[in-house]
Amino acid sequence: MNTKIIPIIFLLLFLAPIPTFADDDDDDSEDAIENLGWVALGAGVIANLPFIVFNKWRRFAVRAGGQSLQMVQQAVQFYKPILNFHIILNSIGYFAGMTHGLLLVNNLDSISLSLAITMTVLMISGILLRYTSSRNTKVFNRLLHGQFGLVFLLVALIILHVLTGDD
Amino acid sequence: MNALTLGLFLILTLSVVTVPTVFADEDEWDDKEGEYEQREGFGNMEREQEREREREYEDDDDEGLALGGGIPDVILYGTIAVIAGSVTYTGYKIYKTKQPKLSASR
Repeated sequence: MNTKIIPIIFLLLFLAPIPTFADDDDDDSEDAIENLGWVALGAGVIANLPFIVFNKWRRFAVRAGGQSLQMVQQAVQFYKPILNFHIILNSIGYFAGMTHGLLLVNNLDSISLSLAITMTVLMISGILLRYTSSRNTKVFNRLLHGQFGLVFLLVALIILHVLTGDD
Repeated sequence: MNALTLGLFLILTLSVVTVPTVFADEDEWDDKEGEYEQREGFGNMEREQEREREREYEDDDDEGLALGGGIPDVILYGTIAVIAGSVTYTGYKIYKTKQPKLSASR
């Protein structure tokens, strides 16, 4: 039953941006599209910060051992919900960001294009990491998805995009 | 499931083709056409010239795209280089790990 619902949800999501085109008031629609970008940014921050903090704390606690190791064992049950939260919110952020980009494609600049490419690479590696069954692909994407260079690049591009977005 | 999927894709295709057309602002061109037609003494040649000028004006708008030079382009090439580097480095790391250590076995 769930497999039947998913394509319908995708269909509805696909049609969601169309009312924006229907609005004749340029200012209102541009504000809505701009807000979509802020939604993407907010979703990205909320999705990633708790996940990164949780993972760092877990690694630190495992290394420390003793009492903190017991805390990690108790916290294992929270890993799956936090991971699902990370995936869902990042997906929302990605699609909101891409819709924002597609609706403002006339103002495309190199920084926005770089941001879209980086987001897509991280999104694809995340999807493959979660849903593939091949061991090699999993290992490759685990290493790629957690690369500090890519994360740093993403954050730098977001900051640049926000700073240069109004130009 | 296959029939359902195919049906959904059909609906999706039809929606993509029809829905934006329904919402699109059709009055603009119609009004312009009417405007052109209503002007008395306005020959075909003049109409065509006016349309040509409008088309040129629309083409000029495309020059506003910021692609094609300066620091932003360096950022784009840098991004592509970083991504390519990350993918290559990750592949190399896995290759190195999986390579049998011949010197150790001898």
